[in-house]
Amino acid sequence: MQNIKKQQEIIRLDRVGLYYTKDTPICFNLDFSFFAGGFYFLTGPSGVGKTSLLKLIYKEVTPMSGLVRVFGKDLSKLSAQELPNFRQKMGLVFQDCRLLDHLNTLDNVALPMKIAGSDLKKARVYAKELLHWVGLGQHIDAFPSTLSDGQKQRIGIARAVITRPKLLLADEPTGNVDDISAFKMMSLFEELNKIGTTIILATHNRQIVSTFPYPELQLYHGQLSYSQQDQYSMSGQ
Amino acid sequence: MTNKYFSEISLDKELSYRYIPAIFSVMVFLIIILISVSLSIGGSFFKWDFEMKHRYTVQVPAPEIELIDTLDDNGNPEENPLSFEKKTEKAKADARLVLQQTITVFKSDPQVIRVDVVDPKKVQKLVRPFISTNTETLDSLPLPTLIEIDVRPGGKFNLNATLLKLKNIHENIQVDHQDKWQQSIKNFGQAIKFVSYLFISLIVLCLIALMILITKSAVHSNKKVIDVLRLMGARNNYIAHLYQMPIVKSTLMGGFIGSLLALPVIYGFSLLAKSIGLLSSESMAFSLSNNLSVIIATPLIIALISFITTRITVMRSLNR
Repeated sequence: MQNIKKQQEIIRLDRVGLYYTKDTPICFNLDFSFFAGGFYFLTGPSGVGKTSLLKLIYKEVTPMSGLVRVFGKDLSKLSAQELPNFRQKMGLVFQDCRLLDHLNTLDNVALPMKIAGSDLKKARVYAKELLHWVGLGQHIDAFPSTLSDGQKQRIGIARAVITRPKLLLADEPTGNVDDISAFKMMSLFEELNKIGTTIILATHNRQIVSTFPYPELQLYHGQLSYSQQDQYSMSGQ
Repeated sequence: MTNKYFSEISLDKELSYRYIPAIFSVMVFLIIILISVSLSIGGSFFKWDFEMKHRYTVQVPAPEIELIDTLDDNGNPEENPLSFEKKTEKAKADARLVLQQTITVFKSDPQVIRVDVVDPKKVQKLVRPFISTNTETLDSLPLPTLIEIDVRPGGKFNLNATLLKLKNIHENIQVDHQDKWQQSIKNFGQAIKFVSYLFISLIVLCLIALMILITKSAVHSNKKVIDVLRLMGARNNYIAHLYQMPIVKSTLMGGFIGSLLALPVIYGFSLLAKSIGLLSSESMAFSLSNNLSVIIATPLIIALISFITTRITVMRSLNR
């Protein structure tokens, strides 16, 4: 059953092309599939287009050629009215956290549930639980400006997962935190993955990539490929 | 401490948003005063016009005392005082008879619904500013007796036939209708109403323009927050709602402050209007009770306009 679930395509990139300029492609004729329940590291040199690739998936940018299918839906055919529902199915973690400064920790985390139409009281109960889960139970009334980068990032993660998304896209979530905090965050992502959330995590952190046993996808010269280590292990299987 | 509710957008730092109550209180105050002026003048003119349209004033000549005083039966200067007194009495009796017959003509007409002889003191009061303040002088004046008659609205009062009957009673009886001079006053009233409505329209247009600017500025300054909300799946309706509610609250607050400021001013107007007799107290011009609906409704209507303007502006900004 688990194997069948893992084989379900959640994201399909079909000959996708996206360019910074005419001569500098982010991706070119890119064909790739991400499977439901998977955990993927997305790596590559700075400026190679990892963030842009994630933006393609949550439809903040549209490809110049090819098709992007997410949850079985062709994103080019997704209307403006359908886009909010589509985005409510996924959780986004940003490198710069993007917390709302005038809201306290609790309300920042409760926000996606409120947007999805849930009762605010219920959202706050869930948010409180999640803040305990990420180790910030003592800071529910704190405002982002009083918290460290690592704490903000954990709030960002709690906010991204409160709606139990099918897909979590995390863009350099460990970029601004020390190694201890980075490993704590990884354990949060692992727990989430265990309950079925597909995770794509863009990172520079080689230590994390080498420590955790998940496939590494390298974006380079406009193409996405498994790292050599992963290729060996996959062919070995 | 967690608040009961929270808003994703923060408008408190918006300078233009903070001034909404002050700006709206002044605007609503002006609108209420203009509407009140317009309604009061319009209402008074309408009532007055309605009354005047169906009212005639009949002038029955005074007894011809002056002629009696100076001439005898042959047209020579009077020398016999006894004969003069008799003639005076006769002239007065004739005048009373003419008056009585005139009243009978109108009372017998089924189209006439009111016949009132105007109190002579009131007639004297009317001419006093133009002639003399001396009561004796006024008493000696041969002022005509005035009769006010009201005809049935929509009825078929035959003025010409009535004039013929009156001619048979006395050739100098006159019937006046106010139409001739009334029109220019009516035009003046209409002009005041028109100017009031023009100013109200301009103020409302200014408010709409102001709301558009404030909302656009608020959308622009919260752009990053809006981007985050949209990435979380917020619909445009949801975001527009975030702007609508605080802006409507502010406009309502400003509006009701404006209404409160207008109350004493309208009351002052009503006292002034009554004291100078510009507008009859019966017409309830500028009265608080008459304008209460305006005072309550204006801030609500302005808040509704702000609500709609904000919504349209936010939705259009987001769609871009």
